[in-house]
Amino acid sequence: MAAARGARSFLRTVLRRDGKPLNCIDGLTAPDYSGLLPFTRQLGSVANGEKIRATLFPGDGIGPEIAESVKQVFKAADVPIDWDEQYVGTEIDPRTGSFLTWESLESVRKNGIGLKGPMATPIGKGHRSLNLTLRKELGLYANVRPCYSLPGYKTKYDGVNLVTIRENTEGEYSGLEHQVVRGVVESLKIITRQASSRVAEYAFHYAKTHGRQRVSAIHKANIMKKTDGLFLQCCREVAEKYPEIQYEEIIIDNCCMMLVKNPTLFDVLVMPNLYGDIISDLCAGLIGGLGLTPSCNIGESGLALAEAVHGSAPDIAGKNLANPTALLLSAVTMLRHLGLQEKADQIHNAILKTIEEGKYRTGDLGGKSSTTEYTNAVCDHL
Amino acid sequence: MRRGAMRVMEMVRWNGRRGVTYMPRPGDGEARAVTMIPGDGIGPLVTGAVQQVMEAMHAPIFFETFHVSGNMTSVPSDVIDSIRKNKVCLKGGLATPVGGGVSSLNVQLRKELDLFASLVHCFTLPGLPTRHDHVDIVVIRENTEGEYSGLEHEVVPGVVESLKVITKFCSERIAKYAFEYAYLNNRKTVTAVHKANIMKLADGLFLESCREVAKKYPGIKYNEIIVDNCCMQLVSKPEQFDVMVTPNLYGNLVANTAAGIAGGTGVMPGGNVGAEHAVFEQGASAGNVGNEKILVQKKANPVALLLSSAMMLRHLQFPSFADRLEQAVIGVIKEGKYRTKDLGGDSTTQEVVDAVIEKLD
Repeated sequence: MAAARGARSFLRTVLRRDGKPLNCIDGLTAPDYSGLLPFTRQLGSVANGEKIRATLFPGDGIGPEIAESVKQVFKAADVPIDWDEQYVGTEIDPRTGSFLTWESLESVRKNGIGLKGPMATPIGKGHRSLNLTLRKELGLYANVRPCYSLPGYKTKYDGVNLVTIRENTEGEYSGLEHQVVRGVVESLKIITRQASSRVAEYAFHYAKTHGRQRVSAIHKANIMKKTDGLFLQCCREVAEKYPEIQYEEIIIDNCCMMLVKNPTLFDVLVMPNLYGDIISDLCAGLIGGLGLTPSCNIGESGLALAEAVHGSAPDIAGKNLANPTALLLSAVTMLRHLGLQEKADQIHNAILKTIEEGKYRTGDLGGKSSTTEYTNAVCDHL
Repeated sequence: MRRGAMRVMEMVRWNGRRGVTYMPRPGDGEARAVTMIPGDGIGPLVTGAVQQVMEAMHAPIFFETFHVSGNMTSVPSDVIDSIRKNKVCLKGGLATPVGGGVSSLNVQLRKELDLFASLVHCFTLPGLPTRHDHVDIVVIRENTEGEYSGLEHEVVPGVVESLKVITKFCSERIAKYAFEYAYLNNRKTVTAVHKANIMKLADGLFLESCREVAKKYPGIKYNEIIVDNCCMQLVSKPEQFDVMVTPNLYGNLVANTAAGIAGGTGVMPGGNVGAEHAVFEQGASAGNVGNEKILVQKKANPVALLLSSAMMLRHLQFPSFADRLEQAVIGVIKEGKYRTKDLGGDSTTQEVVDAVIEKLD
């Protein structure tokens, strides 16, 4: 697979602050992020009336239905996006080692923006899991989950409005384990300056562009002094570059306790891999579960893949009962990443109003509407 | 299944005495020595509270106090010797400097005395408003290995590795302790918390050990849950959990989350136990050294340590004293007149202690 990739070296276009592109050949030079703005794509084309091409992976199970929902809402809102649909193949593609074809990955790389529905990883050996493939091939290094209480859907926690940003490539999930002797297993947790700085940069950039005041780094550096200590050091260095944003550090057990007592205390949370996994799921639980949580993965050179993190729910597939909220909210996150704030706000408010009204709610929110009824209601509210 | 403190209240409400009496052996009433480590921050305040209550009850224990601070490089050997002699210790919190060169004294103490099981009992107290009712979770956490092995090194500048070590020996003994605890305390379910879908070998070994031990206790239900799902379930439906057994790091998080759900870390009792020694301290470790403000105003919450000392009294086989202390503390919380700031009130530590002493019968 490496040989095939070497045969076609492709250029990534990364933008400098003055708008001129900097070409760097993938894998041969590591771009220096300090002078660049690698997080957003050029939007000059939108102003000209051109559409942005975005890859769409409908996924399995309820995936196709909720993807239809998103397409309908986007059309009603007149969003300048052209969907490029890609499907998971039925056989393993030898170039990627999984069921995702090389073409679909290329399409995401080219378009730089994507939306993914729930995918069920087929059980078996000899292939990588779909999520792992996407993560490695697209270099997705940060997972962003905005968690806010949906007005109208009451959980035991009110006023939640926080964003969890999780480092997605290293840490405890490096997969490097071995058995030392029988009955003794070691697992390596790796923290590098490069990955920590990258995710810290993204976190502060996100906070700045979305008008957030505070970034909290979550760690356990009192016990894991060197590893989480390095993570904290990188966060501190980045914090100095953004003096207008408050920065604090919170130990993870303290953070868990504060989250369940008073989640309104938090704004943006940035964390290494394992803590991020746990805390982001905890926050999803605070607002009502994975069926309502948007999520977005950020990759190299401003690539963003928004996804719905819930399962594919094969039992209600095809019955027009699925709740498209998670995918819709993820699509909104995608629009914000592209800088289309107006359209994003429009759709976001429409969704919130629909849920708040309570007339059209799908089964998992306690209502009786079908997917299409709910989608129509959202379109009406635009 | 009865939940929360209701079970204790039921047992003790019958004329304030137990149903069938506890028959001691001759000589059991001899005063027992207990090592006391006040610790840092609010530690001295809350351990002082415990001492006052013990004196008021004329409990057959006396404290040997040692002053240990979190800034020391290691726990002094006379403290360790005292704990080895007395077998039981009551401890306030020891502050751990963040990112510095000193390793945590709490962890050192646990490794030195081989206190392999840490137990935190999270239950909703009657009269204390929380978002969830009927929470009664006991988190049993492996205390010596896992992510807290302290084995870290810098591979090259900018790349750091930390080793997480899981051994069959430690996983087995913590699983055995969890099931034994469930058996002796009439608990119905034991849940193992893990992340074996990602850390297949390490957490896989932990799960294997739990499954093996589960076979020996057919009367106790056993199930497994992935740690991120577990946290999500804890914030939405905590009533489904009973006893949870976890490796080191997850246990820390789960215990603090459960403590937060059930009323806060200021009220949850806990302890660390090994084959030969036991150290009792405030259950959930978050905030156990408190902060400047509550130290200066003397408004630290002594309830957690008082309930832990009740656990200690039961461990030392003084059940009647334990019941009286527990009943008094729960009664004070229920009344609601004397509550510290973290429970929504405004009392000082001393006021709460006086109220507890008054409530003792």
